[in-house]
Amino acid sequence: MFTTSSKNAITLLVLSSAEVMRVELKLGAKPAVRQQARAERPPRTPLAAATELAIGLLPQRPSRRTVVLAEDIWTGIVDVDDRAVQGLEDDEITQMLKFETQALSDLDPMTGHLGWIELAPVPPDTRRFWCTTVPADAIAGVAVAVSLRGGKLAYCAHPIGLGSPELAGVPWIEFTRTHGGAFALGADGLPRASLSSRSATSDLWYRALESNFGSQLPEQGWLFPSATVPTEYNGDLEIVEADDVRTRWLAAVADRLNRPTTLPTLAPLTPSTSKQTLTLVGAAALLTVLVACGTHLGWNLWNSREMTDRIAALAEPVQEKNQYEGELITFQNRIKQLEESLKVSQARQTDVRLVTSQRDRFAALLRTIAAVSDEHLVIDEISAEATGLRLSGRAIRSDAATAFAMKLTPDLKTVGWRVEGLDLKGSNQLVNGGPWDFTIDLIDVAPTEAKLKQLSVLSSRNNQ
Amino acid sequence: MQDQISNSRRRERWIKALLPAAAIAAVYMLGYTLTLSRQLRALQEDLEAAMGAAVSSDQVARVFTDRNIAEKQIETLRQQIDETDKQIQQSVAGLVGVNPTSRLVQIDNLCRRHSIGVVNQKTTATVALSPLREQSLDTLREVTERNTLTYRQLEVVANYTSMTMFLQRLPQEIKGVIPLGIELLETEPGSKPLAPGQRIWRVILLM
Repeated sequence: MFTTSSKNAITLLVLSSAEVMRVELKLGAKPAVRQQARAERPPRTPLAAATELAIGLLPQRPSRRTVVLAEDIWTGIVDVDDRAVQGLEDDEITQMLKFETQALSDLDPMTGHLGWIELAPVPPDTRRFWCTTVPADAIAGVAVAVSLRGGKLAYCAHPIGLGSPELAGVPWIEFTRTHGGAFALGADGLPRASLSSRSATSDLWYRALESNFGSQLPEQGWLFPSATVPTEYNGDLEIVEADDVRTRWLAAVADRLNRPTTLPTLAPLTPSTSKQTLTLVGAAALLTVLVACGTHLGWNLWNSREMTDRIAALAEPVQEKNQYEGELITFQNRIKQLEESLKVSQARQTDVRLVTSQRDRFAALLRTIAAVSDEHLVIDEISAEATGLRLSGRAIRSDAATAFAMKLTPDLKTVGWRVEGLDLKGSNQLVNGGPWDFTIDLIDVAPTEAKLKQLSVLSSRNNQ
Repeated sequence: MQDQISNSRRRERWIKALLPAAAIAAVYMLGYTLTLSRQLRALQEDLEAAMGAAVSSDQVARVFTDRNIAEKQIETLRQQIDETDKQIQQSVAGLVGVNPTSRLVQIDNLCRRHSIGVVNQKTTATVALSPLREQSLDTLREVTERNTLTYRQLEVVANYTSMTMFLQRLPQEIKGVIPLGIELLETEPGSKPLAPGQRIWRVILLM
């Protein structure tokens, strides 16, 4: 056993009152019949059994898209006042059509399963529906029969009105043993269809068929086996009996099955979900939501903690740096204070040194005067002044005082005197204008570093 | 009959079954939006701010190094100040703690050794000095914590060489005595004549 696994493969089970047929079709742009088999249908064979019989005609499993076309299914046209269905949902229209078809199909609306499509409305205020109905247990039986053989029932439909002989969308007519139907699939808008159950005793059904179609009946169509051509009809019909005609009809059917929305089909009922299942699903959903919420919450809390930790980790070096910077500023201020203190201390040290060091500076002064003075001058007085000392004396040569001052300068500089302010005044007692009185100011300054050479010179002069 | 339940009824049953889960999800989402989501957003902003203000370990190390350098510099400065203060204290150590009378005796002995005759001597509280020396004395007064310094004014008769030697030996032999000033006075007319080479000197000593 193998199955046709192609997506475009479809198993078509055609069940008439007299025979059953199984056809393997390939849909797509170019529909094709791949396999077909037929057998007689025993009288009073139920729909499910007939389905099983048809499936068994070929050895392979039926397709996952198995379509059952059965004459056992009731089909018909229902006209409804526009106001009666205005604003109704599809479910509500289905319920209403079940009751509308009850009288015609003799099926209990509570147990019947109904499929419908809307046809082109009838002016002025009538909406027209093409309905197909079957007992729910019958279609359930068909679905079980298909599934038991490994297939899956896509839908059931009545075999009438499935395909135009021209495959070009032109209107066509079909006559079966039980029905007559005229169909037109417009390119735009809703399809048109007229259906009548045939009667052997009158031709009213044919007139109804004609008048309901709204125009002249199509002149071409199909005539199914064991059906007769109405006497009033003059069109050209192909009898679906010979293999080539049957194949052409199947090709037309395949073409139509590509567009199932233009057919009233009966999809297998989905068993309603039990309360236990709903409870389980609800509980599972609840559990899933709780787990999801918990996971989400946990993840967010983790994320929050992670961010907090990262913020703390990032802030730690900043705090550390701030602390060091604070300490650095404190230290720098302290350094400034200490530098000031050091300056004060050093200034104080300089001041103290000025007094405590070179305590022999006056001896050095006298030694220097003695060393650099000569026979041309004499120091008469050393007096204290506000800025230091003043040397007063007399010279018999005018340049002697100047030379004396110049010689004093380098040595006295090392012991804290700057020589300046040489005043010279001649008394005009000699022929050269002399002798001269002079004064030299020794200004107190900070001593420069004593030069050993000079000091040694001073010492040697002193010794002499 | 179960199969005849309409789609809307079926939908209702499913909605009813899933309602608790949906309600919990909605409440959670509401709570999340009102609380945790805001906290997370605030934390995210804080994190971005923290990342913006973040510092590298190199920066921290650099500041730490600067801080340590500054700390060492403080230590160095303190040592310098201490050293300076110590040197100051050593400089003035000889000026304090010595009996002034014994110094006077030592000065008299030194004068006698150099044939210097003391004409006048007296203690004065103030002397006229240059501003530079005044400032030094102020500092000295501050360092030795003495409110006043004692000055001794000597008027002596000596020749030039003796005076030079006297002024040379004085600070060497008598600790704590510092010559602050010297004057060579002119002989006043009518005063007693001095021996040849002798002059009258005025010496100001810090005692």
